[in-house]
Amino acid sequence: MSKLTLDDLRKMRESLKNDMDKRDSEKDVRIVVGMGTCGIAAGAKKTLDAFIEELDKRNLKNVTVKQTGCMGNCNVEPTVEIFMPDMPTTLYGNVSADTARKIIQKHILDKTLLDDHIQDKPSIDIIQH
Amino acid sequence: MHFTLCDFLSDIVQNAIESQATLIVVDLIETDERYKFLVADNGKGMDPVTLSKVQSPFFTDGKKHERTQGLGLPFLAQAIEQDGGAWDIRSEKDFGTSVSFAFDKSHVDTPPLGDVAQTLLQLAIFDGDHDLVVNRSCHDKKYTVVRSDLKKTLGDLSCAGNIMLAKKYIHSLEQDLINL
Repeated sequence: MSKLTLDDLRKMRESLKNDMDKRDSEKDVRIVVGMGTCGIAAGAKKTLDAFIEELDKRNLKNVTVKQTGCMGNCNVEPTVEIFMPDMPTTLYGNVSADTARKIIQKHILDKTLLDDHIQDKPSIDIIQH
Repeated sequence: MHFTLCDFLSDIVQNAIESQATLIVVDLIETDERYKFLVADNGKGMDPVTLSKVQSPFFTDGKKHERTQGLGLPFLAQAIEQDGGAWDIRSEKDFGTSVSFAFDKSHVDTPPLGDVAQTLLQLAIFDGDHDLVVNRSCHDKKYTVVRSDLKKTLGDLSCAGNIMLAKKYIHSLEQDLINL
């Protein structure tokens, strides 16, 4: 791939615009990956990358992907919280790249929980107000 | 413990983001002998007493007020102690903090560099109102990634489609840099 410029990027964004506008409802799906020291050490960057790649592969271009600091569940990093309509807000632990792909298929598309990875909510002293 | 040098970089930049900085500048310089990193922010900074505690794994600052562990800088100090690199932190309360660190490429205990493009993408899309400027150089080639330019060009950087485009952009810059 040759070196892209910001102009190339602008053109690529323009060509996606119509497709993305049609998918406005996907914006209600929010994936938050814990990226504190604990998350990074446990491989959260690979988890984040797996979400980005898989969302692209499945053409879920308007889903929101965010990062946050330590959520207080350092023992089960990488942790990921999913917010979406028709599903309870869910915190998953031990989310490897492979589990990230499963979350997209099962939780987001099939609306089924991944029982083996569900965690309690973050410790009360860690939650940001 | 972090696996790659890029993991240390992500950790230190995350500290800068949490310090309420509006501007963070990152330099990632690769020469024949060394990897050199600099992370400078204009966030809330630290007074000398706080600064003297940052190397302790049993100290943390900020929102996790009932927690007593902070491992980011202690991890970095430990890795550098093992392989003869160097690091430095300077901070002034209300003006900001800068952290610099360097690793010797030839030392057997130096961790691998890691995936630079993936790391720069991860840093660029981290949520917040701050701007981030990354200057990456390798020998005599260099490129710069500016978060506000990406935002201006793509719009919302938390939207999966835009993240994918940013990824292609940053990968193309890194690819061009390392193909000497």
